[in-house]
Amino acid sequence: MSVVFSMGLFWAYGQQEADSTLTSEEIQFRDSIAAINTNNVLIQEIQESYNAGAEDFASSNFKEAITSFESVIVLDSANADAYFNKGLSHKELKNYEVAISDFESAFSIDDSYFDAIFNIAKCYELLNNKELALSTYDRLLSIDPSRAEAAYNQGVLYYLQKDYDNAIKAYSKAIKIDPYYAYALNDRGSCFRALEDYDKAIADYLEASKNDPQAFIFNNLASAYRKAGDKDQAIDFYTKAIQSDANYEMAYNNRGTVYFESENYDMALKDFKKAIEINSDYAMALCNRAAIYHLQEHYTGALADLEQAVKLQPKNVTALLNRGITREMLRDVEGACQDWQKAYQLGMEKANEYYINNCE
Amino acid sequence: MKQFITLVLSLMTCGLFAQDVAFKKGNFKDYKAGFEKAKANLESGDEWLEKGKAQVLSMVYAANEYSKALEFYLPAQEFNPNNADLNRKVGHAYLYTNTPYKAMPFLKKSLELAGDDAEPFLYFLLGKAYQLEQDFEEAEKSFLRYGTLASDKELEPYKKLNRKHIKESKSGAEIFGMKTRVWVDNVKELNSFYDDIAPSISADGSEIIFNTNKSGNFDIYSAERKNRKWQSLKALNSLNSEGDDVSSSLAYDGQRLLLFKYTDSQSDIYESKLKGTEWSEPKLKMSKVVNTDANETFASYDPQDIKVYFITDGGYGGDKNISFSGKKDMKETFWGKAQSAGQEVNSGFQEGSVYMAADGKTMYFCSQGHTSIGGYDVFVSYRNELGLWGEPINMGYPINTPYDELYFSISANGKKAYFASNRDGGNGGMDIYCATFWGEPKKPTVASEDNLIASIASPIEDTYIPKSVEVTLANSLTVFKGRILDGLLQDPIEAEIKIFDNATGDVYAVMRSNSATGKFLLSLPSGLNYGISVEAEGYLFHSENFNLPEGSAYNMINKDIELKNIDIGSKIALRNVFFDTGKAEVKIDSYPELDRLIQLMTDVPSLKIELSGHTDNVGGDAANQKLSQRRAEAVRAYLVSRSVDGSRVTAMGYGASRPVNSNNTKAGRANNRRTEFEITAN
Repeated sequence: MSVVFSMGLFWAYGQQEADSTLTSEEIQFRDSIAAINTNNVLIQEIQESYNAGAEDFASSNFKEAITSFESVIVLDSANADAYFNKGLSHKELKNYEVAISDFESAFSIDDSYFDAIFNIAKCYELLNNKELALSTYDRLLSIDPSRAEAAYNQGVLYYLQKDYDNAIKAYSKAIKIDPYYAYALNDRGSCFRALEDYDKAIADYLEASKNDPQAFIFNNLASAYRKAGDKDQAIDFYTKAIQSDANYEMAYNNRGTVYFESENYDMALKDFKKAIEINSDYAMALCNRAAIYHLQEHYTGALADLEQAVKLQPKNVTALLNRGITREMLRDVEGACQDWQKAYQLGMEKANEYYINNCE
Repeated sequence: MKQFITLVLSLMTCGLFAQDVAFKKGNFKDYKAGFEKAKANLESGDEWLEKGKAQVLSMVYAANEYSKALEFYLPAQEFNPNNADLNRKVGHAYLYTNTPYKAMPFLKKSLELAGDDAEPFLYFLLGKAYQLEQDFEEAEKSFLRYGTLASDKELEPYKKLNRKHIKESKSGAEIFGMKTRVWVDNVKELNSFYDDIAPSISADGSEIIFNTNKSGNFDIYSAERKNRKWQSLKALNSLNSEGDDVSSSLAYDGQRLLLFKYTDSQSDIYESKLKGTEWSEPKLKMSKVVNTDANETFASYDPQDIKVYFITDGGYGGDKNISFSGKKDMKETFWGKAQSAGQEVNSGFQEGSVYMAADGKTMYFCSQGHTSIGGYDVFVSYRNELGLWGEPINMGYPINTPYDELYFSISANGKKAYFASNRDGGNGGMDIYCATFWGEPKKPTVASEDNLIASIASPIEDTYIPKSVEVTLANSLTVFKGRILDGLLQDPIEAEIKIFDNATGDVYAVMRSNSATGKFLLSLPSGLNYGISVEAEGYLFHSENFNLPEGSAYNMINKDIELKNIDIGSKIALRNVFFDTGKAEVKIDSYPELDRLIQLMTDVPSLKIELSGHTDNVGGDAANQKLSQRRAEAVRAYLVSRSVDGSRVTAMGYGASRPVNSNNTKAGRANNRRTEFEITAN
């Protein structure tokens, strides 16, 4: 005997039909088959609703996805996947509280649904409730100690709070779980950098770059060398970042600033130009190229770049300060004073010094 | 008038040939009256020119004398523009007025007209004109040429000046080559067509006192700085008299003012104090011991308010030099005798003004000497630890030019300074200029950035994208039940029942019928085509195919199957052998049925059969017979290809000759279309 019964549903079916040739066992068998047939229809309906939800989710039609997953739940209240996916949909719609509730439901149905807990923590992060996010990651790690990304995310949360010591502990936990976890190594390096322990930062960045030779890791490594005062190594690793990603404008810009500090203005200008060629809206590189033009007394060129930079980032204090300097050289004292005043209002002390000495 | 125009055109024509037209009667026979007037003007101009020259050689300001000379020369030059001497004289006079930049065209014309016969002095004048045009190389050449061409007698009075100008030309070339971090702007809101001089600013730079001679005499004016512009210009009438009144220095607090006034052509230093909004009547500053019979003019407070520095021509040699005097009591009743500021600052030429900076250690002054690049230049000197003033430093271009720069005063923060100059490009006469010092270069800031958080730099992809599940199509089940019976006796038979999925050939289910009742019961997914084979010992196996239609929950099919003994003569229709219409190729979905027949042949080695093909009565008999024969042979060929001895199988086509049902119905015709075998030996 073969029957199709792919899911655990079974709907009892009590309907009977008079048939004198059938024994009671045969009648029972027949009725059970009838029940299976009914059940199969329901299973198909559930699966189709589920797939409709998945399709809507993939198309970013999250509200429709929620409706579909809710239909699944109406037919199958113990469907953990439906709760989980409904939670994901609410998360996408920034209904984080509802999402958390759905993820909890999924986990209560299936206590191996660790992804649900992970997403609860993510929702708390998105709700900016760092304490609950951290404790939820702890909860996840207690039931699934292999979850390196939970420890990693704790590290990120601590880092963003500038609690570098706890961040280092969290990242270290992630690295203990997964010694090749490049992101955790990178971020721990960034913690050491923030604590001005450049040797440890360099060591972590180096290890991260071995495990995952991404451009941004080489960039961070270069910047750590730069902070440590080793400009040659900095230039080498910015170059590696560029080799890793030829369109990584940030590395060009940063290498340009090292050249600038070394007064190698030709090379600096070349790098800033390349960064702008990659991204014409890169305000920082525009601002930096303007600095070179200014030093070369090409003030109109400098002003054009700075105008663009300020247009892109009206609160970029470096752009405002530099535009003031260039405007002054173009005899636009009024404009220069306005820029310095604005830069000071945005928190740049140097701009106030210029304002007081030149505008009052 | 007509005659005059004709004369001008005539002289202009002469000009094309650059001929020197002497002031002779013979050259102006038709213009006697004009000639006489021009001649008279020429003579009057010469008188003033000589006065001016004497002043210059005495190192005295001579602009007034030269301006007077021009009043006469210019009409004469208009009458006869092509006289070399007159052009030289016009250029000469202009050089010492407050519009010296007008000199060059006349001097060049003079040279053009005179050619090799040019007066040596013309080269001296050209040197000064080139100097003003900042062509220091040509200027130096001209001065040197003058020194070479002029007779000793002619050169003697100008020897000192000529050397000075050669030195200025050398300084000019050097100083113009250096960049001074300063902007110099004409302060248009203060300047008039006349002379605007001696700006003096308060320490905070909010007030300026200056002087203008637009009324004919110098008067004192003030202005206030608002929104980075000088506004509210007004004459300080309480200070201005009918004669020249010239302010020279505003105290750092803006409450006192030093000025000088002329009495009987002799100037003394006065002071006025601010009472509310009015300046008090000026009173003599310092005693007569300081304010001598000589001219005491531009003065400056020192920050400690103990001394006054001033310009006086009462010193040795009568040159204007910088002196100072200190008060002896707090009431300022007694002042010390004037003392020279020292040889370092007082040159052998004129010093024109002095200004003490707010730090008390820095002196700005103007001088024709030192390393001047022409006329008065602004210099700065710093007092050393011994209280002596150090070597003057030329403030450089663009503060200094070959023109006159005078009356320099500077704000306490050193950012802005004001001075007067008669340089080209002004409103007229001396103008007030503002020097804005850039200070230390403002180096632009560069910025870098990093992606310190990996998951922000390269976000981890969200792997939680719901994946669709494979939908189990809800094929309903059909209850398939029946009985296996002896075809002859209708007795229940225990038989093996196999259900095949004809689409795949797979066995779907195997079961046995009940030995007592012959019943079987199973569920099958609806909507498929099945093959069923039933085998029981001693019976011919039974096979057939059937479709289970889609249906409701209560699908049920009841089928009784009768088995036949394997007796010689038994005929069994192979209902699961299929051909395409009109063709004789065995279709692949016939193989399961035929494989069962092969198995039967294997199981019963004595069995011999005749395979027969049958058609319905559609179509011609011959065609039907032929088709049925070919189909029977095709089936036989399949059996033989699967190791069945060909001698055990014969193939016959019977066309429509042996129907088992009526050909009048569709179902009957379907039954008649068949492949059959008959047991011929066992």
